[in-house]
Amino acid sequence: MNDNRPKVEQAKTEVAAEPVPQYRAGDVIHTAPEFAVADADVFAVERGDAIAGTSLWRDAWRRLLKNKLAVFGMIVVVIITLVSVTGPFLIKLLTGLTPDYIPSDVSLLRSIPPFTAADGSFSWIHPMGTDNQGRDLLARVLQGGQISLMVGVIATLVSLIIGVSYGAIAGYLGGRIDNLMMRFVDVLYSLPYIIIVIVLLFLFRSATARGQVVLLFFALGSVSWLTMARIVRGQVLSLKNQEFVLAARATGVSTPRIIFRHIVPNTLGPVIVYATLTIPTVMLTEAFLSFLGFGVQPPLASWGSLVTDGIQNIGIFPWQLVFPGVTMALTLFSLNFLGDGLRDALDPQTRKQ
Amino acid sequence: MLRFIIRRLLITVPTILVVLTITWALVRLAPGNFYSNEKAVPAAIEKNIREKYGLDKPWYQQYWKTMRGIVRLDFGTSLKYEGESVNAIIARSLPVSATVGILAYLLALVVGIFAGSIAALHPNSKRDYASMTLAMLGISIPNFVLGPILVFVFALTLYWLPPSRWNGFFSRNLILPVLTLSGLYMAYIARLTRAGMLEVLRSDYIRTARAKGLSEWQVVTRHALRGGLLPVVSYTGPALAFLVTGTVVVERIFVLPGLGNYFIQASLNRDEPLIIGIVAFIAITLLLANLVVDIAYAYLDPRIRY
Amino acid sequence: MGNPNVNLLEVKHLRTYFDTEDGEVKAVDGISFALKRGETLGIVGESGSGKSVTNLSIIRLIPEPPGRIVSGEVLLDGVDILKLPAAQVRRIRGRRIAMIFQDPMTSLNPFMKISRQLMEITQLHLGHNRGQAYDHAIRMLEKVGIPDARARANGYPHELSGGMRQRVMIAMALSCEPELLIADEPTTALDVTIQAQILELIKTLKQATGTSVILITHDLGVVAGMTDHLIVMYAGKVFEQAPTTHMFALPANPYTRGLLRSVPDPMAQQGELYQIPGSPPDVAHLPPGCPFAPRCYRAEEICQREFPPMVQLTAEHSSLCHFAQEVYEESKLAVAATEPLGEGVS
Repeated sequence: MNDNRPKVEQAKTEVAAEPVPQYRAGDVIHTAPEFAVADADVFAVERGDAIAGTSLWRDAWRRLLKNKLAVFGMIVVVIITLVSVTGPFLIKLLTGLTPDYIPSDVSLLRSIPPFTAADGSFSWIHPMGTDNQGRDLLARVLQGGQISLMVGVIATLVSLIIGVSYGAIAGYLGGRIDNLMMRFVDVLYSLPYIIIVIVLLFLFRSATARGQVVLLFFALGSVSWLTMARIVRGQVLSLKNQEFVLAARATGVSTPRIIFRHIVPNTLGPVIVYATLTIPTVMLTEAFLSFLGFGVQPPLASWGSLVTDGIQNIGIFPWQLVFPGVTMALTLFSLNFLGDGLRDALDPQTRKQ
Repeated sequence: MLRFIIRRLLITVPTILVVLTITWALVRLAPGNFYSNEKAVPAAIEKNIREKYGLDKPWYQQYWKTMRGIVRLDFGTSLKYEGESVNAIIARSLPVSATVGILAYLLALVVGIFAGSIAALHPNSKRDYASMTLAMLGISIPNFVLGPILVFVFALTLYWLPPSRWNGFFSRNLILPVLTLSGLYMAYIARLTRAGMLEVLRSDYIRTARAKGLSEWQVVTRHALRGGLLPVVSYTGPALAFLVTGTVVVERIFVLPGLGNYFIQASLNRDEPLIIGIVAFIAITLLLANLVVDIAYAYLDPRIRY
Repeated sequence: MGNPNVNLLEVKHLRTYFDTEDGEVKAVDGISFALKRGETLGIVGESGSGKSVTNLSIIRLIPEPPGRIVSGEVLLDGVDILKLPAAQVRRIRGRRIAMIFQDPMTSLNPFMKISRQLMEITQLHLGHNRGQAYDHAIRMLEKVGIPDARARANGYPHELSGGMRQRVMIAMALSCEPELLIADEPTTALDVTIQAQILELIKTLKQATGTSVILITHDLGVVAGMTDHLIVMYAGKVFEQAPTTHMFALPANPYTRGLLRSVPDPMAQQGELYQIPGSPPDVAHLPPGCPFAPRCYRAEEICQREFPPMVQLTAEHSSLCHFAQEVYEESKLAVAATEPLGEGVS
C-alpha cells in the first residue's frame, strides 16, 4: 500500500509490461490455459532479450520443424518447385518430348490414358497420359507449374512492394493521412476486385502469351496488397514510438530512411507469413482467370488453363482434369499449411496449446 | 449510430463514382471497340454506329451522359442484346445469382460455425485435425475443380442430380452449384470460428463463467459464441465480394443465366453499358452490404461506438 | 451449517503439473493446508510460485491440457472435490466456492449486460426466476457500493472503471452466499487508493456473511490486516506456514524474512528498502537442492545439494528450510533486541 513497492511487486510489474505492445487493441491477454506457462515463460523472455535477434528466428525455426503439417507443406512445395523447374528438361532428355510437342503421326493425335502407349499396351512414356493433341500431360503439368508458381511468386512480390510501402507510409505518417489512406483500403476491400481485374485484363489483352503473363503479374499484384498494407500499418504504428526510432529521428535520419531502413525490417515476421499465404491465393486467382479465359493464353499453359481444358473432357478423359487439378490443389494445400505453420512459429501468442 | 450511418453513406457515394469512373476510363482507354471485334467495318457504317451511340461526341460529354444515367439508376441499353435495357438484364439475372449466392453462404455459415466450434472445443484432438485438414482442402481446391468433380460423381456417374442448367428457384438443379460455391466459405468460416473461439475460450471471462458453475454447453452458447463469432461477422464483408467472384465461376460451370455470366459475356463483347451497369450494381450492393455488416458488428460488440 | 471447529477446506499433497515446450512444469508440488469456517487464509508468493494454480485446482478450473492435477485431495467438508463427477463440481462452483480474479478488466464478459451476468448465477444455483434474479442482482450491486445500481446493471462492463468492475465481480461471487471465497490477487490490477477500498469491502462482507476467504497476493502489506493464517509459497512449494501475527513476528524461513524486510515499514526512519537478490526460479528447470538457495543469504553447501525438510516449529508453524530452527531463533533474538519489526538481521 505504498508508493515504494517492494521487490516482489516490481518483478510483477515488469512481467506485465513486457509483452504488451505485441497485442492488438481488444485482444484478451492474460488467458487461462496460458497463465501458468506464461508465468514460467516470462523469465525465458527476460533471458532471451539479451540475445534477441538471431535466437528469435532460431526459435521460430525450431517451432516450425515441430509442426508436422508445416514440414509436410514445406517439403511438398520444395519438391514441386524443383520438379517443375527441372522436369521439362529431364523429360526432354529421357523421352525427347517437350510440353508443346504435337506428334505429326495422325494416329497419336488423341488423348492417351496414363501409362499407356499409343497401341494400348503398358508404357512409361506418358505417366499422366496425353491431352487431346497427343501432348505429354506430365511435361505440360510441369511447365504449367513453372508458370503458375512464377505468377504466384512475382505477383506476390508486386503486392508486397505496394502493400509494404503503402502500409508503412500510412502507419508512419499517422493522423489524417493515415486515416485517409486506410479509408481508401477499406473502400477497395469492399469492391469485387476480380471484376476490375477482368476488365483490366481483357481490355489490355496482350498480343503475345508472354505479354499476357506479365500483365497477370501486375494485375494480380495490384489487387492483392490490401491486407498486407493493413498488417504492415498496424506493425508500424506499434513500432514507430519505440526508442530506436526516436533515436534515429533524433540523430537526423530522413523520414523515408527511417521507414524503410529502421521500421520495415522489423515487420518482417508478419510480412513473411502473409506473403506465404498470398502466393496460393494469387495462384488460385490466376487459375480462376484462366478458367474464364482471361488468364494464361496458349501455347503457354498454367495449372489453371490445363484444368480448364480438362473440364471440357471430364466425362471421357478424366485424367486431363485429375492430374493438373490434384497437382495444383496439393501445392496450394501445402503452401497454406506452410503459411499457417510460419504464423504459429513466428507469433507464439497465437500458437496452439 | 444514425450519424455513423449517414457518414458512411456519404463516403459510399463518392466511392461508387470513383469506381465507375475507373471502369469507364478503362473501357474507353482500351484499344478497339465493340463493333469491330472480329472484322473491319466500312467507314460509312462505322460513322453511323458512332453517331447512333454518341461515340462521336467529346469524351467528357459521353462521360457525363453515362454518369447522369447511373445517378438515376438508369444504366442505358445493351449494345449486344439489342433494345434490351441493362436494368432489365440485371433484373432478370440477379435473382439467379442471389439465390445461389445466399443459399451457399447460409450453408457455409451453418456447417462452418458448427465444424469450427467442435474443433475449438477439442483442440488438437482427432476431430480438430480432421475438420481443419478438411477445411484446408476446401480452401485449396478451386471451385472450378470442385464443381466439375461433383458433376462427374453425382451427375455423370451416379445419376443422382442434374449436371447443369437453370430450372427455377427450388429445383434439384441448385444443389450442385450451391455445394460448389459454398465449399470455400465453409472452410474459411470453420477456420475463423476455430481461431476466434479458441481465443475467446482462453479468455478470463470464460474462466469466470466456468467459476460460476455453468455447464460447458452454457459457457459456450451464452458466453463464448458471441465473441468467438465476431471474426466471422467481419469476414462477411469481404466474403460477399468473393462470393461475386465465385458466382461467376459457378454460373459458368453450371450454365446458369446469372449476373456473372452476363458480365463475362459483356466483357468479351465489349458491351460497354452492360459492363458499367453490372460493375455499378455490384459495387453499390457490396458497399451497402458492408454498411449492414458494420452495423451488425456494432450491435454485437457493445464496446464499439461510433 | 457444519461444525465451526471442523475444517471447511483441507488440501492434502496437491500436485498440479503443466506440460510445456520446456518440459513438465511442477507449478504446484505437494501443497497441504487447511482452512476453518469463517477464517481467512493468505497465500503469498512471487509470480510463478504456484499460488493461483493451487486455487484453480481447488475448483478444478485448471485447463487440461496442458495442465493436470497429478495427485492430492481437496476436501470440502470432508468430500474430495477432485474425485467428484464434473456435474457435482459445477454445483460447488459459484454456489459453495466462489472466485474473484486478478484482472477485473478482462474477467467480466464484455458482450453481456452486467445485470445478466449477475442474474445468471442465482438463476443457476438458487433457482431464481428472472424477476427474483434481477432484484437480487440489484441488491448485491448496492451491497458492494455501486452507486446508481439500476442504471449500472443495465450497462456493459467497459462502461465501468476497474474498481467498479471488481466490485461487480465481488457482487457476483457473493450472490449465492458461498462458504468459501477465493480472491486471486483482487487488487493487483487496481490503483493504490482503490486497492484499499476493495480490501475493506471484502473484509466487511466477510464479517457480515461469515464466509471463509482465501486471499492470494504477492503483497505482504495486503495480508497483514486481513488474514488469520498465512502460507508463503515458492516454486510450487509451501515454504512457511503460520498464523499471520506469528509469521510476521517470528519468521522461520530466510525467504519469508526477505519478503518481510522488503515491505516498507512506515515506522522505520532510516535505511534502504531491502530487495531479495536474483529473480524467481525457472519452474521447469529447478536445481536439485533448495529452489531458493541461489538467492538465499543463509545458503550453505547442503542447500545446493539436498532438498530441505519441513520443520515443525510449533503446532501451527512450520518452515521448509535446512536451518528453520536457527532462523527461528534468530528472529526471536531480533525481536528481543530491537523493537519495531523488520530491522536487525545482518
